[in-house]
Amino acid sequence: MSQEPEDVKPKINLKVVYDGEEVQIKVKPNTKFAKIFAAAEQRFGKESGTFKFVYEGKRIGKEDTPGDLDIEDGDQIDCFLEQLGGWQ
Amino acid sequence: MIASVNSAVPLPAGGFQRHQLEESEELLDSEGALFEGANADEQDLSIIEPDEPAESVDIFQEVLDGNDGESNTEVLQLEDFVIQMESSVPPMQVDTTFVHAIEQYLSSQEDSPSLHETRVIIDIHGRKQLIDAEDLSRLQGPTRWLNNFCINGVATAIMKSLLSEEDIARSALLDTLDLHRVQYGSDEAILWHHLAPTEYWSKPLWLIPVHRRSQQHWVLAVVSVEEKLVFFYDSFAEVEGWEADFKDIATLLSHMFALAAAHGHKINTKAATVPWSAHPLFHQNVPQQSNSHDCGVWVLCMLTAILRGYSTVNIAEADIPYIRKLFTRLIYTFPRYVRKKRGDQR
Repeated sequence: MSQEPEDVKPKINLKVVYDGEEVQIKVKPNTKFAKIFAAAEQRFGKESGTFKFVYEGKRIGKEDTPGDLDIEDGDQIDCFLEQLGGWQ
Repeated sequence: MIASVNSAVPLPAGGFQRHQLEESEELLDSEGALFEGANADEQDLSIIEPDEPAESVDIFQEVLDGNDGESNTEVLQLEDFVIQMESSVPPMQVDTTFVHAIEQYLSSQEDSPSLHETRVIIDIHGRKQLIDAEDLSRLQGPTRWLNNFCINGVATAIMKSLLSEEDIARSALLDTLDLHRVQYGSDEAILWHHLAPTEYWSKPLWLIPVHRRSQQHWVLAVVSVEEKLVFFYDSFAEVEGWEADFKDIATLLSHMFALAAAHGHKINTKAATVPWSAHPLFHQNVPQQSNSHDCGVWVLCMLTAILRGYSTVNIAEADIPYIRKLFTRLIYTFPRYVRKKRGDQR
């Protein structure tokens, strides 16, 4: 986690896919996913916090970075809408 | 009312709309402001708009092209569905053995609990449902709310593990997002992509789990296609709220009939003069749920009973924590999700 902002590190392209629609997001490897989530949710027209983001079957946390998860250039992130119910 | 055409939806011509570049710049500005504050590095995140359609677009388009050469010009004719709500409860067949059936299945299987592993359940049509650790802790936690991954995962697991071939041939289990897609106006290609694997046109019962977004409540609708009947279930035994659901369900049904017809599948129903009607699968004002967290589990119990050929269950609210555990153990009998690439590393 102690990645200093290394400007030498090349940016990577993430392919973010929701229900057949995709958007390419270019990020630094040490960009926190919170920021990527917000951009993707806004882009797909969903409220903040309604998506579950998955990389290779694992849920991605807000505090993770692409670097933490060994995500490489061109890798795909899947978004799924999360519906929650109990009764309020 | 059945025959009249109320709307016509053009099939998608060129896949998905791409976003405008200006939008992305706007987004970047707000993002930059929101997250970066003063020491901003605007180059931290940027959205790239590809010139050519993405790969995934082609996959969806294929579904239509493969079956329908003129999909680009054809217009789907949607019938106007009206569902009339009735208060009469049909004769109920009580599933008195579903808990026992799950216990028996579990005793014949090895489950390997591990809180940190995503499980994958692949249904008989090859559709994948993933349940991760967070979803499992919701399912297991006695007062936690269920999400769509719990509902779709457990329902698929039940279908895969507990049913006879006869049971399987009877029901098409829809995903909780299928209705959502209609509510949000997804195009026909996407609807078909998700619905076609169920082969619903050949099944007499369509099971539609309903997520009420405004109430954060899970309920269930079951369509008996040939009879033109819709049965509805709410663990609070309330009839209120269904009017809006029936509107959406009617829209979904009209899409399902039109899509099946467009792909050459005939669905038999009673004559056009017979109206669609809806009946509760509960006795009004006799709620099964009194707490504020179990509606999803009740919906799963009802789904199980209906998949097994019954129409209600005879369990009590006090049984629900145990049933949550059984469902969780059932998921643990399914394989761990294996990462596709670079599986050996990390």
